[in-house]
Amino acid sequence: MLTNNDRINNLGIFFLTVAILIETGVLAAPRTLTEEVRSDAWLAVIFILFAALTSCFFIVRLSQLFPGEHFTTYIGKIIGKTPGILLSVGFILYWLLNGGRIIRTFTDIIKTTLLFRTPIEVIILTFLLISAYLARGGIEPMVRFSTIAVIASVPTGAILVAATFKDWNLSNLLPIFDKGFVPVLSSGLRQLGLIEGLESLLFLIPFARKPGKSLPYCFAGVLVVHLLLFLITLTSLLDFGTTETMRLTYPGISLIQSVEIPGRFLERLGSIYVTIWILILFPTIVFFLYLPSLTLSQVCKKSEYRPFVLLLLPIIYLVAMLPANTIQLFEFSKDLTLMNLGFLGIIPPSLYAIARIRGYKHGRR
Amino acid sequence: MNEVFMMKKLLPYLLVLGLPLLSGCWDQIEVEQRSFIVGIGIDTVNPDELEPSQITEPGLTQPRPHQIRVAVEIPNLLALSSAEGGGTSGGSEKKPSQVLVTTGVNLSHSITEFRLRTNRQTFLGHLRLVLVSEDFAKKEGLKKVMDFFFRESEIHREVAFFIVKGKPEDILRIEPPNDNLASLYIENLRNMEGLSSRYYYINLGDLSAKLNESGNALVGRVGPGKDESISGGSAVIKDWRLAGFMGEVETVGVRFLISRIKVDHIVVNDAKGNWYGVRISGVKREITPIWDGETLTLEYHFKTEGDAREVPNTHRILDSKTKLIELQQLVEDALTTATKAAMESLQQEYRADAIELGSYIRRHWPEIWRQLGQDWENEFPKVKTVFTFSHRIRRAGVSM
Repeated sequence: MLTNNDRINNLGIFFLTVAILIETGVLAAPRTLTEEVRSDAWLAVIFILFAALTSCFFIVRLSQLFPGEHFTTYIGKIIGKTPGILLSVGFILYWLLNGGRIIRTFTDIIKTTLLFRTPIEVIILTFLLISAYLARGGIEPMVRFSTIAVIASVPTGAILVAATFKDWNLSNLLPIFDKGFVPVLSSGLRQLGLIEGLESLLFLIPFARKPGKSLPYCFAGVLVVHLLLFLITLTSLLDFGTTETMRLTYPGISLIQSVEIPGRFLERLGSIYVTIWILILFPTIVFFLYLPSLTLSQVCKKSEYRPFVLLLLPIIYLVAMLPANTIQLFEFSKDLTLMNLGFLGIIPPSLYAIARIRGYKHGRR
Repeated sequence: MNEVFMMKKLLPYLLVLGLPLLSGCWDQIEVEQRSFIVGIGIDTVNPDELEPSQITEPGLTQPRPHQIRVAVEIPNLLALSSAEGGGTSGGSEKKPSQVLVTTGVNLSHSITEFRLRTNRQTFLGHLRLVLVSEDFAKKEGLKKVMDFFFRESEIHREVAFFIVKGKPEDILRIEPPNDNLASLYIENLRNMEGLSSRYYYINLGDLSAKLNESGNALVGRVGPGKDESISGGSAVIKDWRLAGFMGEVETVGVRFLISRIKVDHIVVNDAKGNWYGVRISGVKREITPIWDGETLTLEYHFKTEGDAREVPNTHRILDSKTKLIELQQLVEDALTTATKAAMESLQQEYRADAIELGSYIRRHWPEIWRQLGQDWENEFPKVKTVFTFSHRIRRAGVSM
């Protein structure tokens, strides 16, 4: 599927999209959405999907306008050199903040479910050092790892979640559109920020062997992630109901704790489930280390990105250590979701529109 | 090339340095060194029973005369493994489990006390049963203790929950003839749900959802007997406190109300004093609301079917239309009476919507809920109900 020349084929793009987009937000999303639109949370996911597909369309199309060129190169052509550099730095900060948030959230989950006595500093550092090792390996091993992680964890995770079916109560979804259609639509569009990582395609499409044919693969990746998000949100509502879903810190984890295998030959499925999530979380962290390092090296006009990986490591660590407790972490996540909305929903369509207005096509006017 | 050469030289040293990592987890706790709590019983404690040292000691900000009594069942793994292997431990017959009792201001305090008393680390990941005494549920309320169960990550959502008529520790001390552990014996009673509807079962996950939604719930009821438990009936929780119990027949009725009937066996009698046995299965419930802007009337219609199990002095009952209709009518009357009694208890005696009728109205008829939901606690007893049953006997066993 891959060669060692740092080129990704389109199937690789599909696995990358899935691996980057799935992170801890999916486990907490049912609560976030239910707090906003109660029993219509599952419908909000459908609107998030439409918003994500639209954003994905502009991201891929923008990359296709400048085939073979990196974002930091063509952004100068679209909005000018200095604003281009500022925007690239903005993306670097965006990844560092989100990377820190994701790793901290996951550390909290691990600390609550698996490693009660391990200091969070140890968990975070272990994660970061292993991620840095992979990030320094280049795009090829990252794609290979993403492929393995997606194949191993997404179907298993989905089956485990669906295994709660015996406790489903369909009436938990009623009444549909209780607060009307508009609040659900608006929540779906605002929660596009939950799908951070999609903008990574701006920086990864240039590595594609056939960037012109990447769009369907990116769409397929976005669809798979939303199917999982839809399944977890719907199942949380069916299993717990609205009030309980709003009360649970991570409904996605609690779901598995309610799964019972007949005969009890397997117990504490929650631990297995968290282990699966560790696997699928790694690619996100790795890319959120790799992409800022790569972008920073391009902004600084250095040919080698590897030294920047270690340089940025302490920053992600510090961001991860910022929230003092779970509530502060959720507040931080909420703020980031708003920021992400800009980077996903506003910047790519605007850049695409400006590029088209300025007459760019295939890297030239 | 230099880098590769250096790496090759360093590799053996790195591998040797990594050897200690292969010896396993340095701070692991072996299974035998853990105390697996499989059952917890919670009861009230009279302050007079407490030692002065339990109430206050130097360093405490204030005395703690109000405590709870907590009993736990911990399996004796050595005794269990030797029993499974067909032998005895050292020739002496050890009990398969021990029941420890302590007091504390809350559950986390009590669990810490157990950790100090056993020389092992307590582990709640295998908890199967939570029992709360009638006295505690009435006087103190469930709010005082349930938060621990809803918050503790080690505890599974599938743990069984019961209100005990009597002392929970007496249940945990039962030595069931066919089970090693009392907690597992009681928990396994939930399989009775598929055999009888006189029994009610709820787990911690469902209880959490119901209590956090409205503070009301129905939970199972058990009581201690000699070497066995007496289960059947249910307990009504209103605003997190025990409001009272429902008998076994009322529990059948309440199960019809919430459409949670799998199978039930009932006996009915005719005017001549003949008793018949009927198995009920395949229940369908329809609720029709009649709302005149002020009063809500709910028309419940149940379609049930089942088998005749015991019809003395009757041959070819399925052929005998008169007898068949008479028996079906008797079943319908019995079920209507049970369901009506259950609804009356909830509406008039306990005034507690423990059957989530409010949620049902909110989900299915939101326009009615918008008018009644504001003051549902007072509106619930005013809801009028009409019950009709259509029962069909489909089979009559292996005899005509």
